[in-house]
Amino acid sequence: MELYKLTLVSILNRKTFAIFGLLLVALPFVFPLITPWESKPSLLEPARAQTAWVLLWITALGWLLFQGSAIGDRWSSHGILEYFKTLGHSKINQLFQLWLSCFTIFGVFALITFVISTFTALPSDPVESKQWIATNIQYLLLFLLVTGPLLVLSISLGTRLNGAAAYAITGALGLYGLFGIGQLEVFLADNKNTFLNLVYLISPHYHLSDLTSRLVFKLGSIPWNELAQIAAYLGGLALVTLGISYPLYREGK
Amino acid sequence: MNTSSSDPSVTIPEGVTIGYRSRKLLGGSPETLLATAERQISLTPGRHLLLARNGRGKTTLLKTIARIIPSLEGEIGCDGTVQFVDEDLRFDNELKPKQIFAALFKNGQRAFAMEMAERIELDVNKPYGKLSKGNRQKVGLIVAEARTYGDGPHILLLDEPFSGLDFAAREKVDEIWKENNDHIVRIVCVHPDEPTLKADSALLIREGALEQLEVDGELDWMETKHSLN
Repeated sequence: MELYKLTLVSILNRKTFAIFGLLLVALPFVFPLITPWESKPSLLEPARAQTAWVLLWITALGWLLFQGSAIGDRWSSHGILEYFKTLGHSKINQLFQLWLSCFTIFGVFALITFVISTFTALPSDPVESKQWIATNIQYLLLFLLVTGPLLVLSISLGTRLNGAAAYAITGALGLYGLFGIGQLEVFLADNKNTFLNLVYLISPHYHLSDLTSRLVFKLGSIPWNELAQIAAYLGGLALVTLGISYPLYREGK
Repeated sequence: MNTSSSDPSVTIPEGVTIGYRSRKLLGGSPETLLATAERQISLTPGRHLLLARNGRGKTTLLKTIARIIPSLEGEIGCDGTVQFVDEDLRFDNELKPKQIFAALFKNGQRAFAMEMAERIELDVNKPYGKLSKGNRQKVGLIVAEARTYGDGPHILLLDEPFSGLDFAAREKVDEIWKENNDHIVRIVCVHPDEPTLKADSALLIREGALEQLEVDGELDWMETKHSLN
């Protein structure tokens, strides 16, 4: 796990994680207070959960994918990955170690968000609180199913292209999967277009993992059979992403 | 890369050809031949200098031995843990050598790395980005050397490791190599204009041929240098 340790130390040394970590901890408590919450204090807690998850998405798209792209770019340009290749570390092994180093820190971020959202906004009603905890667990699971594979892709693209291009591609893909598809859906509701229909079908529907509105409007958890279907879809998408990432990964530039 | 408890060795059979395969999509010649071994070359523990003029295939040979790129013909045999330390190997600017050694090594190897750093006068608390070229090369040399400490046969492929080192540092590295010589094949790529090291043999690339020149500790540098085309 030398590559993992070296990469982790490198990320920790750069310290940008601390800024995002601080914002993730502080802003869910600060932002809701800026709103006119006094008119309806019961909105304060869902607003805290909303802020926490939105910030985590921003951190995933703004920090995690950037780290992956930059690490892939730097390590392959600087001969580090070739060095580990000569030591017998396979592509998969290297990719896993790089992924894990970024996800070690991001996993802590996700955990912080989960704790803030689950326990500082927990409804007092026992039935509601059970639903609230289940929804947060479901959210965390689906969220990781989307961000984990996107990180692998950003690392692989970083080793092949430059860091900026790799980040732009994975960032755009993430944004499209979260928000762009919704726009496409609205367009297709009023217009018939076979090509765009096909695009819609093969697009990565990352928005399925965004359960923020479920939390905000207290819609309760997703039925478990429906969750299994969404998880299976996102899992399949993860496999496709990994299948694309592997041949893109290369040790040297 | 094979590892075994026996002595390390590198065998380059007769006919092995090194070079590049270019992408056919880009057109042009699909293969660029750089050198062919005219006789079998066997490298046993010790120091073997790799000499050739620019662009003749020194780095390509090292990368082929390390299996980073494939040979165009034949296969090079390696018995031992291979490490290729590129001239351009770089760590992150923010990392201190001490942190690099801590991430890469444990216990004995880490202690060896720290001791070697002290002997060759490397400030392990200075960020990598603030080190001079020579001191950065020292980090690469230490990483390669520390990994060989107390563990199996090793093959070290060092690409111009001394180009930024001063004379005193080279002498100290030379001293450390002598102390730690039994289970390591070192192939050291050096520029023909900076010959200062003693060697067990020299690998020459000249007129497209890869050949081994047996030497007995002393290499006739002027003659060797002028024989390179």
